[in-house]
Amino acid sequence: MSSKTEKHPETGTADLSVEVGSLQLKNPVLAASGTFGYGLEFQQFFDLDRLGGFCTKGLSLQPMKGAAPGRIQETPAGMLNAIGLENVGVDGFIRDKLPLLGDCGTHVIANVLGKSIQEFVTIAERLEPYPEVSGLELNISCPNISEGGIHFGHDPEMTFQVVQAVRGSTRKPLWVKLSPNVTDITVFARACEEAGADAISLVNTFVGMSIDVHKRRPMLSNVTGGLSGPAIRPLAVRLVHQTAQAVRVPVVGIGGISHSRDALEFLIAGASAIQIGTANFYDPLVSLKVIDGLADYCRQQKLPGIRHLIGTLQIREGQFFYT
Amino acid sequence: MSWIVQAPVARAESFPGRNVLLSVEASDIAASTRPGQFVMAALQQHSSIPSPLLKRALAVYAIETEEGAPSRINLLLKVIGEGTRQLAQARPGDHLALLGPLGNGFQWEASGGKSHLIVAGGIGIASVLLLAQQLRNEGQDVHLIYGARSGRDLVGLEDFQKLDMDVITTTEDGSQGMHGLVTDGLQQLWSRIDPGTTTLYVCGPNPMMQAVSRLAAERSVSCQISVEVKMACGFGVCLGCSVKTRDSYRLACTHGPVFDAGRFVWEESQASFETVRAP
Repeated sequence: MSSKTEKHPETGTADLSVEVGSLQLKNPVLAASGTFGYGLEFQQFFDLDRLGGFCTKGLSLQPMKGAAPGRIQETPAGMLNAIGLENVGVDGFIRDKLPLLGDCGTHVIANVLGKSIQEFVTIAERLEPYPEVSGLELNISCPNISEGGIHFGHDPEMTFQVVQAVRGSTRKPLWVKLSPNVTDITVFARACEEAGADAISLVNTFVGMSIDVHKRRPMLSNVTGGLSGPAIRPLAVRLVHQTAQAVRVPVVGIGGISHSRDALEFLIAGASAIQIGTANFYDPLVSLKVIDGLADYCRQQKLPGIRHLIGTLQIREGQFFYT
Repeated sequence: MSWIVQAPVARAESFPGRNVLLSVEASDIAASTRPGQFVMAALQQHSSIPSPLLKRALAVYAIETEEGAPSRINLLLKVIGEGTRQLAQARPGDHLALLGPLGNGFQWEASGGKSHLIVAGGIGIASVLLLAQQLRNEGQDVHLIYGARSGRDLVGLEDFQKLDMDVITTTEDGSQGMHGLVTDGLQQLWSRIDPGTTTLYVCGPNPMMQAVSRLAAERSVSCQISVEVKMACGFGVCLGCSVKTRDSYRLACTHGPVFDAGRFVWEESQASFETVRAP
């Protein structure tokens, strides 16, 4: 090849393994739901076994065709999306995607969403017999359609009920992905914990809006959309830190990560693992770079393992601190 | 199979009308690109957070060979917003971050006795040179109708003239070729074509593609359009570039960018067409 293909050094001897509840990850880097397809789309770029894991596109009980065209808009250091949860449905995933993934050597976390508690439970039951699916991530936080489960994510009692119901129907590790579009995210995190969730992943996208000033129309057909990308990172780091203080279950940090330095912020803030989202779009190899960067950091800092970094943020006594 | 490469710019040429041609060293992409496919491209930046954040979808205009082997792809682009403005500033020695080839290209029947009519408007010409070259290599009968605002905007015209094919040009100011729109040029040929054996391949501004699609539908002429849609990833994971066909929502990146005009629903696809602009 005359072109310079991007290369990545091996992670070497650095121990990047982490635990998220009962799940052992070889490294703390996962790909976020909605940015990694069903994993298959990335197999042309690298072996998925390099990753700590990945979260599938959100799976509903029935296939969904998604929102009308006009689904994305780039914004400063980010993008808005209103995809409308287009997906092949849980049965389509089991029939058409899972066999192709085979033994991909990494944890497949099925992101699932339902219109009702019963739908969440049914989807969990359908996935239960498949050991290739390492865990479930409940999406109760898609901001773009009312049936996207957001009503479960905006009422702590509903959050508790849906998590408890799914908990009762699966033995797989159960993560819950929270919306940042609430006044106090810790209330929801605690509801998940009390209902038996194994981990809390946060954050999903922030609701935003962009306007075509010439046409005086919204840029997205859905009018509003979810903001993701580097623009939201500081907001997400703060929420992850706040949540990690409030619950005992592990937190999985998500929000604008595109570099190992970003991932380190989340780990220090208290996340046990992280997910990379929007950066997968503009750099499909970003996860590998982040993993290599974490290994470099461990070596430079002479850390016996990246897990020793989790939640090690040092805040001086008397230093201003939110509650 | 798509390749992720940091491709050195070998040559950059500017043309009137804010059009730029970049020749970049990307042998893997060059060796595997079919007519009508595209790449996602950005000027390589050192930051982990590029600005603008997303790559831009660009048609592969031409493929250059070295010692008989495909070695470089040519990208012909028009400066529209920040992403294309940056790309247009690329100089030899700079690198482009490329992902490609992507999408499904044009479909054509290789049998003889067929007539192929390529209709291009403005920078839409960037999507159709490889097709014209391929068809001419197969010894097929190819016509090009190429319209632009004025004669100096007819970028790449000589690349088609070299192929020894029938070329009609139209300009809105009448400075070269027929005075009028590309559809006026098409009308000139229209009575002479045989709907049963002709295929139209169209790339250009949406109103022009819609007008040509309508004409094709009236006479039941097979017609393929190549659409330009806002994209975040280009390879089917963001699901952002949806358009509407009579079958369902389809992704411009993995199902397109070439669609059967007869099944394409313009009104409902409109919102995806807005050109990606600087945030």
